[in-house]
Amino acid sequence: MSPEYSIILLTVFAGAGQGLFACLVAGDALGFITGSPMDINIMLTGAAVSLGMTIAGVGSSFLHLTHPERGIKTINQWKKSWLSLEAILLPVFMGFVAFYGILAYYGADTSLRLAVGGLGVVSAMALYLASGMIYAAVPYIKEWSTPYTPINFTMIGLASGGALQVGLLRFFNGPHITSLVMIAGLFAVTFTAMVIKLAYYLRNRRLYQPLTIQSALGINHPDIVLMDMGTGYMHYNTKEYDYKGYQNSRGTIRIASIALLFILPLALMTFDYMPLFNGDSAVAVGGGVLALITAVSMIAGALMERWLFFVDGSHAQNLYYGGSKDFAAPNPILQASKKGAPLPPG
Amino acid sequence: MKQLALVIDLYKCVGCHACAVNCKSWNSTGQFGPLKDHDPYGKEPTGVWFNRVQTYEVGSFPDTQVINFPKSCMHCADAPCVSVCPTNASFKREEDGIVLVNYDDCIGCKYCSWACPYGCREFDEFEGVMKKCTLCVDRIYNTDLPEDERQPACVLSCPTRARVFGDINDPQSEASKAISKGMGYKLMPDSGANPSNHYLPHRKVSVKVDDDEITVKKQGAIKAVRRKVDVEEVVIEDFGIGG
Repeated sequence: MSPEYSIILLTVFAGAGQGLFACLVAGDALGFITGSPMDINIMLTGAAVSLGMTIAGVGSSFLHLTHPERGIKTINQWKKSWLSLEAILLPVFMGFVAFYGILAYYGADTSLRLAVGGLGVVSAMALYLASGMIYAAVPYIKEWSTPYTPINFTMIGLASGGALQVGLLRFFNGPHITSLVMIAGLFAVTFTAMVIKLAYYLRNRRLYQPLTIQSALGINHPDIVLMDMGTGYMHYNTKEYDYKGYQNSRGTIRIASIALLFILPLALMTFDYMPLFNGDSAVAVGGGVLALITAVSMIAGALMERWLFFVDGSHAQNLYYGGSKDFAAPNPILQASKKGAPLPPG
Repeated sequence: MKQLALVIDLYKCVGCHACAVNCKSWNSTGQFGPLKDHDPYGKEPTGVWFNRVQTYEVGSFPDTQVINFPKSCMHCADAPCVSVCPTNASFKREEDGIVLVNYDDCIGCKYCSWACPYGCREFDEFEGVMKKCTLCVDRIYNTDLPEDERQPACVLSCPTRARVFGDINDPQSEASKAISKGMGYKLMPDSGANPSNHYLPHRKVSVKVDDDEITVKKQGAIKAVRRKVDVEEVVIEDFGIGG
């Protein structure tokens, strides 16, 4: 699949925004339970950043659509299309975040604020599911069509959003006990996300593709070679599904994404947050900066991870163009003519 | 339920691309508006074609068969593109089973093309909407045309009559008869889409070529080369039909 940069930005930024809001409400509830409430600055900044990131994601997704002005027509089809459900849940989630921020600003009752926040978290979780299922519900891209897809979206969104929330707690010197619980939770979520992502990559390495060029053409012969694709140049379907870019760098990008998304943040977290567990609650500016680096590194890693998610996907229609991974050895005649080999002398 | 579809005979198809060209011609001038091309006379021509003919070689030399393979929208019974459309722009007509796109509702999310296992949806970059074969719905019910021309453009143009159009759910139709007589099959039967277009199998074309008619020559010793090959060039002399 060719990487759709606008969708990559949407899923990463909106995912982090949802994760940030979920962690914000969790921290708020924790402060309510333990009796040491969070600073209002954390709530306002958290809600604003979450809303800003989601709006940035939605704005980017509008670049993907050629007719975003018709977007209102998506509200009818939520029963059958996950994409329609996502389009409905995005503004619902943003509404809850904005409402939560307004309630926090005007100092409304804590239980009311937590109730609105709780509903916002429910919509965020539903949004993760809807976003992930858009891809998991495409049976013809085997790499996507797995429960790993929505789980990955959720875990990586929660981890990157959680890193932002812990950074806010660190920066505004949040309640000690809340910080400790959130940091421990973030560590656990990031580690689990890494295990799931690695399991997903392992799964894709030994993927069984039930559709073959034989069933695609209905011709039962082991040797089938495309001689002529019917057009002189690529068209929409080959450009969209037979993406050949950065093939040699994909391994490096994969390692870099794992390093930036999981390894570096886990190391930074250990380094940065260990003093907190020793009872040292003092917040240095350096601590806030390290937390910021953690969050930025995770979002950069998530962008690479989402890019790989797209380019790893191999669509069944590539079978018609001989673009499948399981395709037989390429035709030497085609190869030679592609290379532009010179005419033999004589 | 009525289900209009095409039945394509792979044995009769000679790969002349007349169906594709006539499809493009009709659909550039019909009621659906133009199908623009990008850089049509340049080095990288690209554009929307509802029907494409691909050519495959099956087997290994000298025992090979050439399959010309026209492919357009299958008008699936359980069309996956219809169920994923977030605006219901992509829909399947109740009355004749044709899958169509309402260009005025399409938001251009391309999700339907991800859901199509056959790669038969074509995105029009000029209008920003998804397009596809309409089964010439603006021809087959067009009372301005003579009755025998109320057929898809591709069917009318086929010089070998390799394409048959009709209701595959009506056992008396030409299409149903062609399927049952010619052992018609569906592409990717395990895709779950239940396509309506059927293909009649290619039958082996045997040409008698004696061993002494095949000469394998080393590169450099060839006077006339048909293809640029940097391995061994194979020349068949006197390729007599029927032997």
